[in-house]
Amino acid sequence: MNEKHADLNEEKLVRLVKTQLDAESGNLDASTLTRLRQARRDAVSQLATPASSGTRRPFWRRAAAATALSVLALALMLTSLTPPDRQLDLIADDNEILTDEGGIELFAELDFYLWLENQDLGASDA
Amino acid sequence: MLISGLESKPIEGEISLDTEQQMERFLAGIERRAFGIAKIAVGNREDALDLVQDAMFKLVQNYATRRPDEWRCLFLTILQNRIRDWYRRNKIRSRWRVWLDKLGWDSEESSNALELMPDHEPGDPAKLVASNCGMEAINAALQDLPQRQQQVFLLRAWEGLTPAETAAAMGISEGSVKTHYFRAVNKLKVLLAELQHE
Repeated sequence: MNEKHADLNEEKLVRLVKTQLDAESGNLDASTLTRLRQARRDAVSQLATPASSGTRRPFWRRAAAATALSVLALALMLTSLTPPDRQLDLIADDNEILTDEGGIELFAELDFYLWLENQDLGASDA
Repeated sequence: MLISGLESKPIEGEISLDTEQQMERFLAGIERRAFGIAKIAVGNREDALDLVQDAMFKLVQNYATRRPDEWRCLFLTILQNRIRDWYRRNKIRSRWRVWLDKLGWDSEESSNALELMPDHEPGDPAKLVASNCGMEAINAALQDLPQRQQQVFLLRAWEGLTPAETAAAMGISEGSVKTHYFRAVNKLKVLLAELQHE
């Protein structure tokens, strides 16, 4: 008898709690419902993108990877337009400018000195 | 990632439009109760929403190709894992946030919480019952339960899981489920005695 009474109490308790919890979940505020709905849609939207070996990467990551590859390809292409040996010559020229005993002023005024030299040669030819 | 009690691996396959619609319907049907379970567990709305959202994402990412009749247990298992992780991370911090949430303060105001906090104790379930705040009394009583008793009770009594399903979701034995449930019911009987006799 006591056991039956205890069972009924438990049953009544569970029913009471369940009823109250159902009522509360049925009366959630608009803000909470909006957040839940958005979370659900964001989650389900993952299914809209085709799977790739069981994993999906977000669209922005794929776009970023494609862009990075394009930039790298462009850089390589531009670099390849200058022949390798010419690149070394350019580097060598720079070093020569920096280490020349005449100083950098010679190279800064190179056009003038070339003109002056031509004047001297013209004078000698004359 | 294997979920305790669920040994089979996901079957790889195409996701059909029908699966999307089924998943949408399933999540729409469970999201409110999931939020209720999470909110009772963590005591505040924001963390509860984060946990539910996380569980939704994990279910879709990892288990969308499973049979739809498995989604409920899988989802609740994921949710329980997230709740357990939350407890581990927020053991101390959560006590203050529950307090603030009960007082209706936003989390941004928590930095001033100590100065603004009143001196009286949080709501006592028996007193809330006396003032006819039934829902508040039940929430307070449920939050007063130890975490495992609370979650076992919610999964068994509210979500309607069997002892075996509850055990799988929580990663414990069926015997533990029955013990936790028995203790939760007895404690709730004491806390909610006034409501039962109305």
